[in-house]
Amino acid sequence: MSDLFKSIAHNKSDKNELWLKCIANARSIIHARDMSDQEIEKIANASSSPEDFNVIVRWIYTFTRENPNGHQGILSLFKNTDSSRYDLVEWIEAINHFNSWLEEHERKTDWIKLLGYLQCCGESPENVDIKHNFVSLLKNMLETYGYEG
Amino acid sequence: MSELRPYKKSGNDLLKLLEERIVFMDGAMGTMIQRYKLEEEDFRAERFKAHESSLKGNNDLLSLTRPDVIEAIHIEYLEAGSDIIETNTFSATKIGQADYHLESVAYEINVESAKIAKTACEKVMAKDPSRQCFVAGALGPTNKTASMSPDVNNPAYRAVSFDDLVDNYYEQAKGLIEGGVDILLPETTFDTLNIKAAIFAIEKLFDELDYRVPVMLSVTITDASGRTLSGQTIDAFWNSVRHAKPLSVGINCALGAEEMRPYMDRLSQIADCYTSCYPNAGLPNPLSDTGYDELPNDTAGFLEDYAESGFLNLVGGCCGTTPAHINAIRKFLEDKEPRVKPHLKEVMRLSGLEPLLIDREDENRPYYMVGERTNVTGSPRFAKLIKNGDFDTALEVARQQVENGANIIDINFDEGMLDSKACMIKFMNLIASEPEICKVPIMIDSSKWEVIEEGLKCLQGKGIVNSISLKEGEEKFIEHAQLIKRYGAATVVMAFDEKGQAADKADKVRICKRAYDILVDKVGFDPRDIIFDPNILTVATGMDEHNNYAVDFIEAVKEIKEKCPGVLTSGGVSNVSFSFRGNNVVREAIHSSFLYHAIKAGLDMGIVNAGMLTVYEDIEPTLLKLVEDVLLNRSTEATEKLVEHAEKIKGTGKKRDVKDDKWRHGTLQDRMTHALVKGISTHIEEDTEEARLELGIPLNVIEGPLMEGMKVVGKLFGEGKMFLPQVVKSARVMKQAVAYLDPFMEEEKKNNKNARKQGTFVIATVKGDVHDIGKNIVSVVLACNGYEVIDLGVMVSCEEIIKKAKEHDASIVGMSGLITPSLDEIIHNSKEFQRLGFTCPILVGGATTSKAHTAIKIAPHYEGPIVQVGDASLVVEVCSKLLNPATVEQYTKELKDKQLKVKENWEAGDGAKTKLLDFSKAKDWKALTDWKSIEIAKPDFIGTKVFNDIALEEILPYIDWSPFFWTWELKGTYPKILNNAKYGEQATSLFEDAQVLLKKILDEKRFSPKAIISIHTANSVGEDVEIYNEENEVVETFHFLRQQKDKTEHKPYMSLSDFIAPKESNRTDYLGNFVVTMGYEVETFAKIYQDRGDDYSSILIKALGDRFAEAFAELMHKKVRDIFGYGKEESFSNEELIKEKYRGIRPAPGYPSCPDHTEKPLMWDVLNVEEAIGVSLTENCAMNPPSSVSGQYFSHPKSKYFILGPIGKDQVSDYAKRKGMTKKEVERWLAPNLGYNPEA
Repeated sequence: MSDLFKSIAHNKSDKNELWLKCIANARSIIHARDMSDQEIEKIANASSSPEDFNVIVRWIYTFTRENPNGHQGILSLFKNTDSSRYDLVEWIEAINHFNSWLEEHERKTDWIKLLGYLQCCGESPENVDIKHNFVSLLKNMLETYGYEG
Repeated sequence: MSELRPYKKSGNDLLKLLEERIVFMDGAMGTMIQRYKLEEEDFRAERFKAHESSLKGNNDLLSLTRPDVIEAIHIEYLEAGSDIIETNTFSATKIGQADYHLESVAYEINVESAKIAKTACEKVMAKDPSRQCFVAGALGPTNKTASMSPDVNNPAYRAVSFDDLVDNYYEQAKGLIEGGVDILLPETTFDTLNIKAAIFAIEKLFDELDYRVPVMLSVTITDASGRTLSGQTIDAFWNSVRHAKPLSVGINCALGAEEMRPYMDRLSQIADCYTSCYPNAGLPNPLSDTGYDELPNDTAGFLEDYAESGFLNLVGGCCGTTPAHINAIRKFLEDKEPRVKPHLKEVMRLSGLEPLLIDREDENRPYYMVGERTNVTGSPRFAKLIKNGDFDTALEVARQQVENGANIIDINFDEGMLDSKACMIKFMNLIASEPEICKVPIMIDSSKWEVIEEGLKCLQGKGIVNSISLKEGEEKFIEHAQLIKRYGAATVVMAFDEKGQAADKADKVRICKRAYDILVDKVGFDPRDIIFDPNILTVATGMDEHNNYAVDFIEAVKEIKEKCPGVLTSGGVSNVSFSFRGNNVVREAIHSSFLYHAIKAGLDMGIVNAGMLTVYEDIEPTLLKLVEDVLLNRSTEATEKLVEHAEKIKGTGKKRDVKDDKWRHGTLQDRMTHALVKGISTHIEEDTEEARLELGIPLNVIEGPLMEGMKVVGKLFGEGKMFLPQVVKSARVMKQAVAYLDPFMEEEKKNNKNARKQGTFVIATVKGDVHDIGKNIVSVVLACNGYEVIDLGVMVSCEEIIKKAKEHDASIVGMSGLITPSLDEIIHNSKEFQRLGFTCPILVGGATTSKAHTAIKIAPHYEGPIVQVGDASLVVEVCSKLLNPATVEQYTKELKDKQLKVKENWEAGDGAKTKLLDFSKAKDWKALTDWKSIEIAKPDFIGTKVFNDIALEEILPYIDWSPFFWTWELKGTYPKILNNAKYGEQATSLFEDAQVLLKKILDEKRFSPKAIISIHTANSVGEDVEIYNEENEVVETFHFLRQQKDKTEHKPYMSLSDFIAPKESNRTDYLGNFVVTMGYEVETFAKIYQDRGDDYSSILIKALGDRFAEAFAELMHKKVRDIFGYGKEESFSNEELIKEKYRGIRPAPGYPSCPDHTEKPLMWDVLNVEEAIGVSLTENCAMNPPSSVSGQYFSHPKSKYFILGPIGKDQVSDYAKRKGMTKKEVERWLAPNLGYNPEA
């Protein structure tokens, strides 16, 4: 277990053991070429709980299993974040909400489509003049338009 | 032939075992390795200590550096119950090892991994001699796909070739065999072409050996659609790989056992070999005790069900499974009966993304059509497209063939002026990314073997080679046939031999029989993969010796099928009618009649234009008789008579459209409802008059049948079965009916124009804004529903709205605005309404409005209900609730409560600030350019220029039609939306109506396009850009902003000013400005229809005006790129233009990268726009007339659009200083971008 990961887990306010377990799991199941230590660190730092972190890791893991160029998984998340009004914390919250919605509706989708839907939410015209809370915006979009992905 | 080589002893032992029971494989290697918590030094050992790159994670390498770990894992699995263990070689190819720069050890890894596994087996068998243990050499899929492009912008590109994969797999298989494996197992395949390369390589290896080993194949199904990553169904996959005659075929990885069930079920029914399954233990889950979703007994339970259902011969586990899982699986399944291999009917099995089975014994089988239009020799149009490099349109040809019913498409590039091989590769690769085309099998057609072979290397499906023959002798014939078999294709065999083409029946049969015997007996070809083409030759040529050609063919087909069991037959149908080229009526009749007789004789398929076949029964009887006299050689004058008749009927083939007027026979109500629902105005006045006479009072007509019809419209619209364009058309019909009744309703006209008046709706686009399409649509929808609508137009001041609301005693007031400053207007108006004591509901609409914005910014200023309506289809329901005394109180209370909650949440932190970088630091991270060396394109014109003479026809090709449909709330992109399951019909109808108006606009030159551009020398100074005159004096300074939102990666914090050379670089750069307009003529033309009561056409015209304006901006940008020089090298299609594939950008103030509209007046001053082309700016910087576009040209090669995002107080202060505005003013104009609360 690298010192970096130990320090991330240590700096969390609670559930430190669980954090360590989740981060270690992320490192072991996703190849370093698909998600570097620094990238794991960013996700961990931006996640409010090990459960939320784990959801992102599972999505990235599934993407790397299905795509030969697995690094695109995490890069797509960062690219979408940087070109949006929202930061990584908000993106991870929104992804977790979307994940819960999919589970509740027994729906499946793929990572890129999920990110695409969130990107569209963020770029909707109604989000120009007032910055909506990302999760509220997503909820509204799902209620009004549903999801066909 | 390598498939005749025997198995070694272990292969035969395995076969015997599989007859007796289910055989158990092992579980995951990676999961087990993780338990050892190995570090970098374990992967390196001594041997790779100095290796240049990190090796941690290269599990295959452990076979060389920590063989003890690998052996221990193998033994654990064997002791848990595995009969077969897989080598630790998932990524042991040169391609796989390239990530670690260890290509040179790939071979060695395979040899050593096989030896380790073999040693483990020997140890276990030594302990327990009753055990039989086998080693399967694992060949992973690599991380590259042979049939998909990794570059979405270049679908023809491939990161790896078939030949590369064959080389890699050959080396890997060779190493595994050398190490002593008992089985070869290409597995976890996500791309069938990859596994076909593995099969090819394995067969090539077996050619060199005197034995074979069993081959097991395993595919990965990646998602809920049940297809591979490369898009094939499980049936199609099996058809593509069964030529390998594997020991087993199965599914592994990606899914857990529960999700894999339907696919295993299907595979077990269609595979005539053994089947295997080794699923994942669910997904990794550190929150579970085992680290995966599934416990051993869970996985074993699912697989027990598989065994009981008869799916399994071999079973194991993949990712997440452990010896405990294998142990549980063994316990649960060891007493279960193994699956019995089904006996399948022997038919031809082809595949694209989907399977195609052709059963010659099925008397009810259809005639299979091979589309011929993607053949340069047969289609001049296709040939021209390919020669011009227009592959996109060429793909359309292929698509149309499939849409017209072609079961297979034939692809041929044999033409002297073409590089046939390159064309074949490119086109095949492009087709692979078009599911609507490549769902069908492909027929690769060429007279050159090397072209055929390249085509086969691009094909993941089971296709057909067209063709081989004995023309070059038996040896060549056998060589080609063996290769075709190895590539897994079927083949057409022509009736040619060393002496030439077979002309008569006897020759056709003789040659085909000879070819059949060679293929089946010497090459081992499956007869079901053979299609004989006994040559269809042209009849009615005028030469008597040709008269029996059709009969010869038909009779030969019958005899060939008798003498060659299992084969199919085909022919190029259009050959038979060549004598009548130019006369489609006769040709179609000949084809249909010929096929009718040939199919009865046993013809299975034909190469034909799938869109040009007449139904046999529909052939005109005289023509039919003459045609059949020719085909069946029934008379010596047959040709002459047909030729004579052909001249008479040339060009008469068009069908008459028969209009469906049945609805005219319905009741009066039915007729009026039909007219309203369908938007048909032809008979509305006649029916309205009939109603007036029947009902006596004109008002009763409106309240009666007309409103009943509109109720149906409203219901269908509300249910989503009708769409906006149709509703607006319905309104047009309604208006026409009401207008007819007007003279009869003098007294009622003033107050009751729309009958059962629901209420009075006063609506306006607010001051400073000119957009009204959405407002107009809402007006029409409400008018249809019985509201009296007072539309005040655009740029309406608050005072005017208030005045009219009072004057008409408005039940509801609607305010619309598209641009950001309009939201401030709406807030202002709401405050005024409150101040003046209004209580009526206010509706707010426009693209930038939202429920949240309304709740947070507008509603607090007005006590009455304020509702944001984002969708015209919802407005009726909202109005109804607001005006119905029974519902208004409850609705308003709920609305207010909800809005209050949204506001409170937002204040509490929902609208929380994003982390921002200090402005000074963001400036340090600007986008970097090497200004010393970069080439700055020099325009060949500096100054200002006006364009008054651009023809509409020149602009037309640049139109992007997708936003046109979005205006009407039809969601989709053009042209796909025309075939959309939900919107397609409506979108097509709307588009057709638009084309009619478009023609009128073009013919009558109804719009007046004008443009003005300027190009100045320029430099950036910080975030400003100065432009200069000839004397190098500053003409104007434009002001830009910089991103400040904290980024996840080390990426630049961008400003548009970064794309202009800084002053200190001493380089001359350039900045352009432009405004284009379609003129006030758009509004004028629209008004003509509006005054006639035809809102539908009026809205269409404005929407077309907007489309033309955007297209004009695109055209002018192209001209400016030409002025800069780099535009002259372009050759983009319209789709590529829409996707902005060119160099340079043209952002406009208000765009996300430059949100400040107050930059527009600066552009207007520089260009003197109003005087030059008559476009003015409102007080809120909206352009008038509305069908106008403006912006600035940046030519930097790396310039791109971006979102500015939130900015901080520090930058706002800096910006205010640069602009000479107060901070408060800047905060007002940049309100959406403030990363802080200006009121705090």
